Amino acid sequence: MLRKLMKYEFMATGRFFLPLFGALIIISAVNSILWRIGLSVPAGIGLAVSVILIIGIWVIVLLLTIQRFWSNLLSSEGYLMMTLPLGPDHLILSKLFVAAIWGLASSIVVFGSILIMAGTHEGFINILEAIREAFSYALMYIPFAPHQIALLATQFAIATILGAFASTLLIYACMSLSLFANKHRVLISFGAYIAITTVLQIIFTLLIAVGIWSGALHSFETAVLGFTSFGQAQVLTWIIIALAAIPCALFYLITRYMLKNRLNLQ
Amino acid sequence: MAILDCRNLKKSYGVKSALSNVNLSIEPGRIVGLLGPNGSGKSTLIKICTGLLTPSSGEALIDGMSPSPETKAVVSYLPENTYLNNWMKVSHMLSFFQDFYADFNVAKAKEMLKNLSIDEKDSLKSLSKGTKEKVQLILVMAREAKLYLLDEPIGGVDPAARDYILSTIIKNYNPDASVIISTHLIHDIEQVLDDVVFIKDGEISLSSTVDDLREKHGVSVDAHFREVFRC
Repeated sequence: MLRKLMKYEFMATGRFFLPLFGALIIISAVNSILWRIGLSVPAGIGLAVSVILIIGIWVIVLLLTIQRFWSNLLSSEGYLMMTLPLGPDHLILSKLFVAAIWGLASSIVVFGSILIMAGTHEGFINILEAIREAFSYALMYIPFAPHQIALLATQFAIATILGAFASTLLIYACMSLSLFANKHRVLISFGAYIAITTVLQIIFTLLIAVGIWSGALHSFETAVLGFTSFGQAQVLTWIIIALAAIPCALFYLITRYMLKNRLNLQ
Repeated sequence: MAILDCRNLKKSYGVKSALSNVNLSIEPGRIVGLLGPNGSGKSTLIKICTGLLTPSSGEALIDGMSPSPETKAVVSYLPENTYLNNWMKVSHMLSFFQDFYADFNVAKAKEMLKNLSIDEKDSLKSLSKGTKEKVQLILVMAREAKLYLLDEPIGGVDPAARDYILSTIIKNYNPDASVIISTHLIHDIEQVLDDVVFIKDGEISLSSTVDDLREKHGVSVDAHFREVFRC
């Protein structure tokens, strides 16, 4: 069922992304040719258009994340979607996964367009080369075995994905919290966003302050310093994963609870 | 067992009460008219049964279960306004229903579309409001559900299509299934109803078979409705 929901989600969103991706790649290619033949004024205009398209893609990623959840589940189309014989998990996950995939695709396309535009530019090649050298240099001096590096890289990838999920799920949670109200639901969603981010920051600051004040952080630090360097890296990555996973779970559960128990489509 | 059982159902929006203490039991195989003036609570009652609204108290049981994916699989719901995605084609909606409803009879839907001269290849954006309503009704009636909840199914369509739609409802539903039709256009649907439920200010004011009502009051349902709800 998730696969079928994602199919329609891709159909609904692809008609915005695919033309934008196509336009960006074509303009980048034209730009690259203009640079090469030395037409710098049209190339400058082309560059400006590309920058606008790149910004546009990211704006669309954000807008569609909001719009697909709001209009497809909480507004008129919700009469169809919320009466399908499916639980809230399918509905939330299909939207989340498709939003994440478009986010990833957008990153790849934007990176690709930069490569197309600047790929033959000497300065850019030098930068890429420098980054590559820095990495190989760092890898030589990091005292980890290849499989340990692979594990750390996987953990960082998981943390990044969870972080992206958390920011999307926060948006879903805020919109679904507006189901508590009968009126001013858009305003309430924005209010919920500000309230949740503020409260989370206060809690985080308080936890650190308490940690420092009680000496818990210090004893934790001392304990970790006794670990091997790989052990220390593991502690750090697990903290990063937890910092992404906890809000992820919290926002998911809020959204799920609201859609399952508090649905009110008037 | 009743296909629909509402027990002490209450719903309020803030301080405004939309339904108060609704008790209603619908047996399988009945066509029921849920009749009441605008704002009497018809849509609220139907939406609670579909799970789109959460009741303030009480419960609505479909086939003995609270609204859930299991009940949604056996309830075919036609909302009062359109939920069709404008960017889709009629054919997309057919595959959508086929993908998600195991009881969707696509051949039946295609036949009904043909009878009403609606082209599957048309995009929903290009259809008139009335045609969209027809498409939506066809999708809903082409399911072989246990309970059909039709909220104002004939409100926006012309009288000729109205007749076709009513005969479609009669022809297409399985004799063990029940149909609840909410409307204030009683005259048009009176001949198809087995039972009537009058709803006034969020309360059930009458629940009877059409035959009993005619016998007891000596008038048609329409005439009795006009008497009861006289302004």
